[in-house]
Amino acid sequence: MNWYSLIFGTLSWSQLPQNPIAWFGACCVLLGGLVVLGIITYNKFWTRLWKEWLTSVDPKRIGVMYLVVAAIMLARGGVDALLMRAQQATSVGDSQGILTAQHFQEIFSAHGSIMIFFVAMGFMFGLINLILPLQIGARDVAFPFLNSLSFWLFAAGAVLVNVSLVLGDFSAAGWLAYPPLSELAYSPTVGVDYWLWSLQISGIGSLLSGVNFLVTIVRMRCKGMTYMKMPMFVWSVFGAMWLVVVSFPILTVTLALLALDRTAGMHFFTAGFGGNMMMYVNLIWAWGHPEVYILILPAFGIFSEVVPVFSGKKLAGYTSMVLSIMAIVALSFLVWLHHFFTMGAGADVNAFFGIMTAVIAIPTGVKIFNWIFTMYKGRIRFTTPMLWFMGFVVLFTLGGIAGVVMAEPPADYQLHNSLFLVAHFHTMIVSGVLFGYFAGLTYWFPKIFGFRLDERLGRRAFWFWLFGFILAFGPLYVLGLMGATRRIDHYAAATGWQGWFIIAAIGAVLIACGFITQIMQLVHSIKCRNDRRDTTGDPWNGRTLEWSVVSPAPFYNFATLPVVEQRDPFWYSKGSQLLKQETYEDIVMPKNTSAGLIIAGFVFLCAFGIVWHMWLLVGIALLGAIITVLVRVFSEETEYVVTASEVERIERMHTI
Amino acid sequence: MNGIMNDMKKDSTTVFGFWVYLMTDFVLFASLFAVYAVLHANTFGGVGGKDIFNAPFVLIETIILLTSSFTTGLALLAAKAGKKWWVLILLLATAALGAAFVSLEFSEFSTLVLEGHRWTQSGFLSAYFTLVGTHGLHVLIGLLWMVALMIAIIRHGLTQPNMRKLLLFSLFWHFLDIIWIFIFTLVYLFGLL
Amino acid sequence: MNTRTYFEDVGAWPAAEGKPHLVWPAYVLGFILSLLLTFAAYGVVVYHVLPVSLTYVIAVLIGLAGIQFLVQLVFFFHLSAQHAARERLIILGGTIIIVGILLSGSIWIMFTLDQRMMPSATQMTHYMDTQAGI
Repeated sequence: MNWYSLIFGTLSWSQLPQNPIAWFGACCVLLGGLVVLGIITYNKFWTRLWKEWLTSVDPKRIGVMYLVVAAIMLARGGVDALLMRAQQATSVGDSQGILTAQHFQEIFSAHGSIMIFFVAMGFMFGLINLILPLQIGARDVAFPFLNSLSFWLFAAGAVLVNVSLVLGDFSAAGWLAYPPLSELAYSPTVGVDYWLWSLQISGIGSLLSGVNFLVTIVRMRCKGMTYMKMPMFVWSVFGAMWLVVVSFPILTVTLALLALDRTAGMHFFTAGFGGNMMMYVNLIWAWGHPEVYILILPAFGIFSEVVPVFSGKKLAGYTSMVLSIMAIVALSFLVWLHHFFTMGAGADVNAFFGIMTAVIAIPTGVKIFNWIFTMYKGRIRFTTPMLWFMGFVVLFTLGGIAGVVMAEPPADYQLHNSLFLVAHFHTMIVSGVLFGYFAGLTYWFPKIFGFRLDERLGRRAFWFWLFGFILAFGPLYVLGLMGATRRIDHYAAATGWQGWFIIAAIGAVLIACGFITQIMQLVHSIKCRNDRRDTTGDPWNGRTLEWSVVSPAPFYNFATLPVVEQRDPFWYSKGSQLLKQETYEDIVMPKNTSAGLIIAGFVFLCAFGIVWHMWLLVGIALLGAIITVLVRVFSEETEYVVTASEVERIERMHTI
Repeated sequence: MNGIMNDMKKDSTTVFGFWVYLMTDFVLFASLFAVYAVLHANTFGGVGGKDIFNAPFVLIETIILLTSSFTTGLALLAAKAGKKWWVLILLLATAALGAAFVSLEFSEFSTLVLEGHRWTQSGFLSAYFTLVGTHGLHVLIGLLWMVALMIAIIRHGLTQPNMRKLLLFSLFWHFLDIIWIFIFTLVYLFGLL
Repeated sequence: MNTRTYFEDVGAWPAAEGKPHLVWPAYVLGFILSLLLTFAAYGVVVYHVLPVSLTYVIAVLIGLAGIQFLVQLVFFFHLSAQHAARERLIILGGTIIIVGILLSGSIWIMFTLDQRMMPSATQMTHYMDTQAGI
């Protein structure tokens, strides 16, 4: 081993992008980064950014940072989607489309990984951070520093994905990188390593978040809030976080084993030497299926908050909602084989997992009926969050029925790996998860920022998304039934598919318009924020504790910790004359810390080093991470006191 | 706010949080056990468990780790009695036993590698090295933790943060012993059958 | 903070209710029982002390490991049904269920996959001779 390879590993100039579209992507990343840095420097924002945001342990600030990263990654994944749609609409017969086959494969792999790990997960943890402590009447999460570390690990993973645009390539093995294709023998470049390590880092961040929020819900609820008095969003997060705790370690192991195969020459999933690639598929889905429910449960929880508020009624069937969440949690661990019915397990195995899959439709159906019963005879206000719900309930039910169809192994043998499947899971993830998160974001936005989002543009964005979604994924159901497989970069004209692919591409453009409208909505709302300030703290006539404090919520959330006697405590306190708090007490809050950022930075360098086999860098980064952890663990002064008079000053400032 | 009670409540939450972390580690090892169970017969014409496992050697490893688990418990009892130096002596004993365990495992691994049975030889050897090695890595982390903890106790005595760290460490160490019971049984004893 | 009651105060050890709780016998007992269980398992495998078939030996070994798991949970982790330990017990129970599903499900799935999709060379020859008409 010479000095060059010890320091630079396998990195060389030839690793820069090789084709125009990839060059364009690399330039976008670099220029975008430079522009952001420039704007921050020009506005002399660095000190404030560092002190108030980057080192913050306030879950509301961490939540906002999650949302920013998720939005950037949504744009990135969306561009990937547009490129894919453009390729499939044009690459027919003699035309080869705009992308090479290899580049197309990288793009769909990146699209899937980014959308699940960095958009959906980021969006979810963002919303949980913003609202969960407020809803349970707590000032913070159980482990504030860990929360900051989780976020920065997530961000480090996101950065690593984008570095692959500039240096080297990304995985071309699909979003779950099945071996043996993802093994060194068939994917010799660094692409799969980038995929592995960005997911590994952000996955560990998610795992730590899962522990943190589970403990927060179990231990930090305010006085009187027994389990059966928790808001439904808290229940759904409870279920989701439990799933994170027991499923993400499986992902950690699976990715680590594939990395050992690729880096240390082991034989877990290789084609020869006694490896068993089917074990990878088994393990990755033992994580992957619970993951789907990790994403959807909080969306269910958001709708369970939104629907009662905008229907002016309490949630129908609280107990059955709780039971259905728990049933979904339990069942989600008994269905993973339905992702690989066609791999060839015995009929008994397929039958068992098929039945379990179909059974999940029952608790989900219970929830859908309960939301509709909540609306029944309610005084419904069709605000944007409610529109997202209406779109969700129709599309999600249809997509769910498509899922029950595929739960039957004989039907799945026909539909497996077809665009029908792609259409199904996009219905679940886009019109289920994403619509839910959009509803939650619009609903809780005033609590965090102190002003409401613009309704007119919000509605417009919704209609773009709704029709864009129907146009983009309706044709995919049809194409799947016509026999179009997923991930094709080229097909014959005689298939008659092109028309449908063109409609799908138009749908994708409409969705992009929806996203742009949302950005416009955000910009417009910030510009005109003085017209839409929320001075009451309760802009929607809400029911739960987060609406009982001023907007934007102060960093300590509650000057006095609330005491709860029933469900929807804020709603039932509205009629009575609230005793205004006159005496305040000292509050102990965690100090901001840069340790999370520094540790995640070292971890990023370590992962980057492993990707490029820069072993010197790996060693230094690992040592740096360990030392930072030790320094942090043994530092004593991690908290400070907000005096009663300071609390009083802040509270009075808000009430006047 | 009542400082002492609040601190106790915080530490109690930390203990619970650490317990939840241990559960994630439990699932992590379970996944590795599943992989080992699937791959244990895939020797690819090379050595199998029966050829390379040395029963008395593993028994000694097991007794050493079990004893270190016991001395950790004694360290906690010494801490309860407020005997700082007894805590340090018992932690030192635990660390010595842990180091003995790690070096035995290292010699086992290096013998295998020197005899040509590397982890690159077969699916079985990959799974074996990874499962046992992951446990060994945890023990190594525990050793590092113990050194840091001993320094902290020497410097500050049995303060509340140090009591908390000692308690969390003991949970971690007992947990590693439990994982080792299953490695001992499912890997070594099953392999020798 | 009182070192004398710290472990009880944070809920790690069962609180002394009326009578003083003696932890050190728990450690000694746990240690002795664990040693005995380890020796028993070792004896079963190395000295073949049980003259039974392999299936029973496997069942006995799993049983001994399971008992030692319980012994250490009770005597080293001080788990009990007491209120302070209840939430830890519930989380542990849930994790054990998940681990059980993961292990048994994976082994079941991979066993049938191995049987059906990874035939041995002789099976392949047999199949070609009898089924495929080659």
